[in-house]
Amino acid sequence: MAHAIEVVVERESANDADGTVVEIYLQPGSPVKKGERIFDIETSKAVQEIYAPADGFLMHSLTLGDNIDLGGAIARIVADLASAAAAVATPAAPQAGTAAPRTGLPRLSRDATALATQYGLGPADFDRDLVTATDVRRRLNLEPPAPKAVQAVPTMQAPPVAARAPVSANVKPVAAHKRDEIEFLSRGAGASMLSVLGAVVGYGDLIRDGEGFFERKIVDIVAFEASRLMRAHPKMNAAWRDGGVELHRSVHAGVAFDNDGRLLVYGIEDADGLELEDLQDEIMEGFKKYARNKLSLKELTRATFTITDLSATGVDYVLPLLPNGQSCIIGIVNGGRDGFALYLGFDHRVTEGLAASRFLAALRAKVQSAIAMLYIQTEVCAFCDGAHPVGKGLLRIAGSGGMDVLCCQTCWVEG
Amino acid sequence: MQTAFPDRALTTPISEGAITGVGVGLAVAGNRPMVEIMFGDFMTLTVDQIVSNAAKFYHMYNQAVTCPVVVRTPMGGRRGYGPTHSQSLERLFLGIDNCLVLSPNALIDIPRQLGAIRRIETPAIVFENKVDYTMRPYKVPEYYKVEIGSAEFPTVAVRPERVEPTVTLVSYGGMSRILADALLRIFEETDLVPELIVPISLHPIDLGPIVESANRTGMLLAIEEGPTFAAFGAEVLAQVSEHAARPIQLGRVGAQPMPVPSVPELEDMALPSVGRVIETLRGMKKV
Repeated sequence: MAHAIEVVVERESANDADGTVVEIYLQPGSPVKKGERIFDIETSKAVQEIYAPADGFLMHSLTLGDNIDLGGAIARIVADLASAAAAVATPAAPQAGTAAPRTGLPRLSRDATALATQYGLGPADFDRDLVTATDVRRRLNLEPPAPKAVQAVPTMQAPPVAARAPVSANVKPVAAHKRDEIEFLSRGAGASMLSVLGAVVGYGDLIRDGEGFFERKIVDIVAFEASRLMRAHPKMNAAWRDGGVELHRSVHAGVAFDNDGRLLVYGIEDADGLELEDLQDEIMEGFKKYARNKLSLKELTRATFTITDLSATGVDYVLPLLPNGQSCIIGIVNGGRDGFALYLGFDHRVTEGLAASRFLAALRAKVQSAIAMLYIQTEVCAFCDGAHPVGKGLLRIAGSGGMDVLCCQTCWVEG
Repeated sequence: MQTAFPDRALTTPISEGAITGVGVGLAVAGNRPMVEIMFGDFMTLTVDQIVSNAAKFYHMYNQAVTCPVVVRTPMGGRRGYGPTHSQSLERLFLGIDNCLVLSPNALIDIPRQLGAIRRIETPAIVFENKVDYTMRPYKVPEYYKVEIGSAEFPTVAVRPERVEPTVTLVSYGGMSRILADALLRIFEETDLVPELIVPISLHPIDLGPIVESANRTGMLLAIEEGPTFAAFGAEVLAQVSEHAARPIQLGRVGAQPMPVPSVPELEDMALPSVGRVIETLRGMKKV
C-alpha cells in the first residue's frame, strides 16, 4: 500500500510499556491535517498528546479505554481514500493484550514468499502453518521430501507414538522378503532403488511429418499408450511412501518440458481416459503455458508418472531419474535408423524387474502398433497392388462405376 | 511487605554483604529467609557470604547443616539506568558448587516457575529481569504453543504447534520474552522455524529439553542479555556438543563486552536485539 504513514506513540519513560487511549479526536476515515491533535494516550507518568505526522486521512481501529503498546504504530495516515479502503482491511499494529487474530492461513517467510510468487503460489496452496522456502521447493517437487527425524527423542510431554499422523490408508506395506531385498539393494555398490530397462521402437524408414508440434516425435503416443497400460500395471503408477507401496488412484501423465531453461513436469489429468487427439491438445496447451510461465502448482505436481522426450537432441541413451512420489519414468531417445528407444526407469522397491519389463514390452508393442495404425497405415494401388503409406503417393481418382479408387504415382504417370 | 508481615520483614544495614550475611545466619538457624538485593549490580558485594559461607556449610559441617537462603535480585538494562544499574551479572554466579541459580521469565506465571523454592535446602540465587516486572501475561503467537517441562524448576518451551522447528533458540529471563514475542518475525526474516527453549534453572542446567530440541533441529543459538564470554550460553553450547546425538551448528548472541551505556540509542546497540539474532541466524544458515 502506497503512501501510508504510521502514527507511532513514543515510549517516553522506561517504566511504561503500554498506555491507555483516553481521548480520540478523529474517527476512522476522517481527513486530517499535519499537526492536528488526534489522540491522547495516558501512561503512568503523564498524558501524551498525539499529533498527526502528515496530511491525509486517518485510519485506526481504537476505542476509548483501549490498551496500546508504546513505541509501536497505533494508526495510519493515508494519502487518498483508495488506499484508505485498503488500510481498513489491514489495520495498524494489533492492540496490546489482544491475541494475534487467527487467520487460518499459513504464514510464509520472506524467502518463501519470493519463491512462491515466482511460481504463482499463495498461502492457500500450502497446508502447513509456517512455510519456508524449502517447503515451497518441496511443493514444486524441486526438493526431496523432509527426512525423518534423526531419532525419536521424547519431548518434554512426550506424545504417544500412536499419536503420529497415520500413514495413508492407501499405502500397503511390502512383504518381508521385499523388505529384505530393499535392504540388500541399498547396501550394494549402486545403492540405488532406481532400475532402468530399454527397448527400441521400430519406426521403419517412415517419418512422421506434417504433424506440427509432434513432427518426428512420439511423446504423445507414448503418453497415450502408457496411461492406458497403467490400469493393467498399477505398480508403475505408484509411489514408495512410508515403507510401503502407494498405488495412485488416478493416472496423470507427466510430460517433462525443458526449453533450455527450467525443467518442469506438466501433469495431464486423467490421461488414461483421454483420446489421443485430446491428449495431444493437452500437451500443446501445457507447453504453451510452460513457455509463458503460466503452469499452475496443481499442474506441476499432480503427475503420477513421467515421460521425458530427448529424441530431438539426438542422444541415444538416457537413465531417467524418478521424480518424488512416482515409480515410473519413461525416457524417449533417438533409436538410430530404427526410430526411437524407450528407457524405463522404475523404483525397484515398488515393483520388480520382470514386471517392469512386461510393462515396457507391452508399451513398445502398443506404441509400435499405434504408429503403424496411425502413420504407417498402408493403402494399396488399385492398378499395381503396391502398398504405400497412407497419404504418400496415392492419388484418389474416379474409377469405373463412379467409385473413387487409389492410384500410385507410378501407375498414374505410366497411364 | 512490612505492613502485611511486620514480624517477617526485617530492616538491615545498607550493606549487601551484611544483608546477605543476616540471611545466611537466619537460614543456618532453621529459618527460610529471602534476601532482597534491590539492584543485581550490587550482587558483587554478596559474593563472600554466598561462596564462602552459604554454599560451603553443608559440606563443612558434615552434611548436618543446610543453608536454604534465597537471594533475589533484578538484573538487566533497557531502562537507561547506565553502567552500574543495568548489568546482567549472572555469569559471575554460575557454577558455584551447592548453589542454585534460577532465572524466572515472563512467559508463564511465577508460582509455576519458582514454587519449588520453598522445598529446597540449598542456597539459591534468583535473578529476575527488571523489564519483566512491567510485562503483561505472555500471548503466544499464532502457530505456536507453550509447553512446560516436568523439572522442579521447569524449562518452558515455545514451539511451533504443527510444524517441525528448524532452529533451537535457548534463552532465559528478560531476553526470553523479547524472543518469544518475536518468533514470527524471526521466522519471516530468516526462513528458519524457531523453537524457543527457556530454562529457569541456569545452574544446574536442565539440559534435557535443550539437547532434545537441538537433536531435532541441528542448529542452536544461545541468546542472553549479558556478554557471552564464559557465560550461560557458552556452557549450553559446551554441554550440547558433549551430549547431542549428532553434530549441531552452534552460535551465541549477547551484549557487547563493554559497560552498559545510559544513552538509550547506545544502550540499544550494546544489548542484544532481535535484529542481531536474525543477522546471526542468517550468517549461520550460509555456512
